[in-house]
Amino acid sequence: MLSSELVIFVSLFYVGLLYTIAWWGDKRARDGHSWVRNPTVYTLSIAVYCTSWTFYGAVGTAARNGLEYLTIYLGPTVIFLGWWFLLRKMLRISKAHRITSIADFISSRYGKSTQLSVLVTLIAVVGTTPYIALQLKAIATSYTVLTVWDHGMVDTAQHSLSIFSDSGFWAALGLALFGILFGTRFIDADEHHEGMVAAIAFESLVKMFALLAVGIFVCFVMYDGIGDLFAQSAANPDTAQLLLLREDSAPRWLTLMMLSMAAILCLPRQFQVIIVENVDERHLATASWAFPLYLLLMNLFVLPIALAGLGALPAWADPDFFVISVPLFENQSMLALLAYVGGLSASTSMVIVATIALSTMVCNDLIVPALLRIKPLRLTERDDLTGLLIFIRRASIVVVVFLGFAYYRSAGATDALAEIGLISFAATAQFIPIMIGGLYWKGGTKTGAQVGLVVGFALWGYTLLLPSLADSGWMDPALIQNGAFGHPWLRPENLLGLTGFAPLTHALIWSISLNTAFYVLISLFTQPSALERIQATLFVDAFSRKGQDTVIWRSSASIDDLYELVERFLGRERAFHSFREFGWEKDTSWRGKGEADADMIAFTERLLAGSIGAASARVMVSSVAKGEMVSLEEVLEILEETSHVIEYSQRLEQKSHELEKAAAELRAANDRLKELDRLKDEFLTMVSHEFRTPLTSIRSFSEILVDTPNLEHDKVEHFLSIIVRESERLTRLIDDHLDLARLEAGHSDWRAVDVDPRTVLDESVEAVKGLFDSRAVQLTTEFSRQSVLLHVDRDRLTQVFINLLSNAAKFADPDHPSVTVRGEAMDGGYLVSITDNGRGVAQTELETIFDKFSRSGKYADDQPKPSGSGLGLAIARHVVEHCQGKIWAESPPGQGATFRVFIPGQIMEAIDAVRPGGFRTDSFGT
Amino acid sequence: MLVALFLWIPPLVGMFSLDGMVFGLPILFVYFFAGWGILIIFCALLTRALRNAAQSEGR
Repeated sequence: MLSSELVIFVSLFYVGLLYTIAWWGDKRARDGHSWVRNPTVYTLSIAVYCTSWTFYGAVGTAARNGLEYLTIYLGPTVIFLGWWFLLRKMLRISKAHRITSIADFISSRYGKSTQLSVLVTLIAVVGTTPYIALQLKAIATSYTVLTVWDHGMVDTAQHSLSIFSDSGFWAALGLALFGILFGTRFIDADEHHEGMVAAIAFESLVKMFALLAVGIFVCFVMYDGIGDLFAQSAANPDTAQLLLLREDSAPRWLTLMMLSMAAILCLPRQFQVIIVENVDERHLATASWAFPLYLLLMNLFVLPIALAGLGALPAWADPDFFVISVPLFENQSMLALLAYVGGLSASTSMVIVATIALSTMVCNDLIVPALLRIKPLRLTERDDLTGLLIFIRRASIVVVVFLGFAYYRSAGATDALAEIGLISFAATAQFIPIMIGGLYWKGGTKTGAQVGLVVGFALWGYTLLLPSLADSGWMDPALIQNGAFGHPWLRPENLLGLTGFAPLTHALIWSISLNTAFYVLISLFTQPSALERIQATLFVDAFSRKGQDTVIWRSSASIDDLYELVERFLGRERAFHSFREFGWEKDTSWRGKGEADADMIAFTERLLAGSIGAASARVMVSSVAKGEMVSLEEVLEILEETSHVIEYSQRLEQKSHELEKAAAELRAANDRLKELDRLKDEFLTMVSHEFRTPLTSIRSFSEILVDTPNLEHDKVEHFLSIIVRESERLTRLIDDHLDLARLEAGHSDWRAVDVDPRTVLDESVEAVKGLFDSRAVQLTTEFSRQSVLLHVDRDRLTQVFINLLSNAAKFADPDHPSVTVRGEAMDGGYLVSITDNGRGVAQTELETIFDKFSRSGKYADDQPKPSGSGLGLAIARHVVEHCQGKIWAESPPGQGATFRVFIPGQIMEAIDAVRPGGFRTDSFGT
Repeated sequence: MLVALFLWIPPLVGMFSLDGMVFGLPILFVYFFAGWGILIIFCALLTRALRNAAQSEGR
């Protein structure tokens, strides 16, 4: 037993130490070298989860129910091991939206709904109150145990004391003060409390150290090691059953696991330290294994201490305080004092974080929205609101702490620590359906969330809180035993006749299942608003989305208006820094009368959301951008319309492009048709002209023969020969025509063979020899020694050469006709040149002589020669082009005409070794 | 995470609720704390692997 002066002194000294650490942490953070921002401190701050419930209550639970106490820590372990799936997503979302509390988180998800955030805040406050009461009770009782320690201690508990001699009162006062000092020093845009986090982390170390010290003492000083302890306990039938699971414990085990999993996500203080105070996502990765490790260490000696207490201490000793009473019993008062300090750490850390988290919620989600709605206050027009905000937060801290104190004074004194804690857990577990649903299901709507939450909370109150209050004598226990209105189906602990479950399991089955059912069903049957849809997408697709917020404001406020607004809530300095940074980052002006763009308005809203919550921030910004703010539906409608118009015009454009193209094609086709029509007319004219000439002579000579029967025999013969010649010409003309038509249509037969062009030339020359002789044309041939191998239709090629040769013979100089034929093997083909010494071709005709019937203009002032069909060159061109070759005419003035034919082919070695040197030259002629 | 969940809820827990000792400790006690420790080590290794993967990606 220790003197109360010493205990009070140690307590005050310890709290003073905490203040110093918190103050120092804040100072370091402000100077910019925060050591709070590292994964170890982050992990230790999460350990605020281990409150005095863990420190004292776990031992109590272990002494009553054995290993069941582990469930409360295995649940969070499971969640942290699976951080990748859930916590990481919550963290990412919260950072993107500057979430400041769980109420903010939930209301943000469901369209920044004020009603929902109010509801969540109320539930959180009501749910946390028993929990705070639990801590106060733990502080007060542990103080009593430490100073009074005897049989009568149980009776001298709180009830007999006046408020001012109750250590719980002073604890509440001190904790409220701490919260005020370090939780609300300033209104921050991101709600980081470095000092508080530092103090919490320190406390986590202290409580772990204290519990380990007591555990080691129990195992290795009181007993000969942990094995000895278990061996002795197993020998005692009372304690032996603690080492096993109870047969009927399965439902409760499951319930507790689920509860603790929900708690680590939903408890406002856990949300505060895990999500809000997090500065770096990587810290979470470290905490994912470090925090379970911390829990393991905290729980390692819980069962041994409980067993030792049961074995050694008198039966009246409260198992909840074995951690202190066991060392006391062994006369280790210093160790007991250390344990007391550890318990104090556990309690104070919880109360501090919980009250700060709750005060943020109460201020942002309860009071400010309410004040903003009271028009006569003209809050939106006041200059500086930072003072007001801080005052509201401080007041809410005091209110929350003393709510807990009131519960502790009235109701909580009788229950075991763990049972009080579980009531709290069950209340906050009501957030789970709408939170998980909100994170992974876009279909959840605001109405669904509200109804589900109300139903779940109401059932929690009826089935769990009510019996707890009745137990402490606040209400008529008849209600619990007989049910409301005396109806057995309405008994709070056996609703609708559901029996066979412990009250906690029973309450959870009802509240959570109906909560979920209402949430899902009503969500399915209600339409979410546009903002809800947007927020739902932002939350559910948090990882796949690149862009920040959807811009939903039409600019209507001046930059200065926004600036002043932020200044009022965040203070001069912070507003200045935030806006300047924004201006630099976006490279826009950030002061002045100019119109603020949508980006800046969204930025202002986010900034304000950090200090007064998303719902209130929306109201505030709309008060500045008043009158010209467009509703979301409108924006979406405009967007939809615009996209329709764009799509429509794009389609139109495409159509007109297609039309244009079609028109151009039609025009081209029309031009071509016209050209063809013209060509056809021309052709017909020429053909009829060509045909008429021989026909005319045939007809006239025939008529002469008919009309003059006694014509001289010579003349008759002469006329007949003319008729025969003209008929032959007509036949040739028609043959050529048919040939050309076949060539043009591509119907002609091609029998391509490998030939040496020189042999073809020789043959051709041989064929026209008669003609050349008859006209006394001197023919010179020059073939190169090398030749190429052509793959062509031999007869066709012969036809081409004969045609060119006979043309040359016909058009050579009439007095001294001479024609030269040259054949040269060239790189990649064979070139044949046929030159006459006639008058040449007019320069303008060089191209057109290859057209049909162009013969008439071949020599400028020549009369048409009736001997040709006028199709020879046209046929030649067709044949040569079919062989991938080329035919063209050259005519230097005064040097006759040269027709050249080039046909591609493979070069081959000289085959004519008999005639070496240069060209082989043959001469024909007279 | 799922492994942990299945390990620690009934009925699997019940299977280890046996009389007897391992290393002088009750079986159930050892089952919980050994499993807990192994999962923590596993998670630490996994986290490190993830971080290394993220770093090499960033390069």
